[in-house]
Amino acid sequence: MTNPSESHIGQVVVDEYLDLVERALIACGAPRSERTQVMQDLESQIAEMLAVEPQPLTEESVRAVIARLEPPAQFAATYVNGTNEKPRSELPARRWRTPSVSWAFVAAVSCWMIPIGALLILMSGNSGNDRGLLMLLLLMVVAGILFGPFALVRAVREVQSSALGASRRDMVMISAMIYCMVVPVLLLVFAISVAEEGALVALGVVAFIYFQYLFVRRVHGYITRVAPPREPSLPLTGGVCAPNGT
Amino acid sequence: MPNSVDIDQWTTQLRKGLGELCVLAAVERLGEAYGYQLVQFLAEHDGLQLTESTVYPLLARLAHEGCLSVISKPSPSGPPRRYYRLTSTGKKSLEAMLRSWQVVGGSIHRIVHPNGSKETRT
Repeated sequence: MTNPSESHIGQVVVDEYLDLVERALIACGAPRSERTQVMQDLESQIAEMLAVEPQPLTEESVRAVIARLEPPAQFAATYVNGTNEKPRSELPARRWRTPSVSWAFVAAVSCWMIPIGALLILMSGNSGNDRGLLMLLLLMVVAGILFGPFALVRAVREVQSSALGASRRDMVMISAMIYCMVVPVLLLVFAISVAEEGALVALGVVAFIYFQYLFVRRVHGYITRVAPPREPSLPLTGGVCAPNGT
Repeated sequence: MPNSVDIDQWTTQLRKGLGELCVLAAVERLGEAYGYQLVQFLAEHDGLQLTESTVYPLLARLAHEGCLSVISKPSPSGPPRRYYRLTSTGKKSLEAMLRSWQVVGGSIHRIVHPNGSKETRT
């Protein structure tokens, strides 16, 4: 490079190219470990190509070297069809790894069913509605309590393993919090109503609130650990491709 | 008039399955080689058309599958080079691929030249 500014511009050109290749590989579902290796090999190649260029390097010479490399989308083509010969325009339409059933939504529905059902039961009981509706609402709450953990576990795995956005993760987190807060309350109310003994209720409630706090913190910590917040995804240039794994 | 076979497409399909064989064979030939060295080596052989966009993902996958071992060594030109070497698993895979290749090639040869003639059909 002729001067620090020129050197910086040349590095920017290289970084732009490498970023585009990495984005193309991410979009195609290339595994992270393989992606890292590809990027290291490619970066090493660019360094070697630049090393044999007349020194000092200029921005133009760096651009000329980058122009000799293949378009970033070609790297993704290997993961699509095992060869680099198909141009990007001929690649299949975008097909993310997003599962057909979104467990984040299922978990949200399951968890929200519980407080909504309980509230409706309360309103229905006060207004003296028919027994059929009451049973239906009770079924809704029980279904939410039983199915909620299963849906939450699947949702957490979904967030953990796929490139879902931050909104989905937040949805799973909120659903988990609702479940953790509402279900113990309902179970406590149920236990009190069945026992019909209120002598230790006050002490029980205090202990309950403490344990519930610990429970919520533990679940929140677990989800944060296994599915940390993601940075917003970068926009892609042009159509992308489907994972295949040659 | 019937459509002729799309030779380009056919060639693409043929190469598609041969990438791993070529990369493993190239690593075996060179003993130990880094990515760009393999790309340059393969580029010297006509018809393969194995460029960096094909070779690097294949190297990464073959390393992931245990067919290649990887060692990083410092490079005079910048970032460290990653040297690939064939593992015992890789050697077995390469041998199996070459056996299949020979069987297929032999069968095609016997179909095209049923009398053992080495002449090329016109």
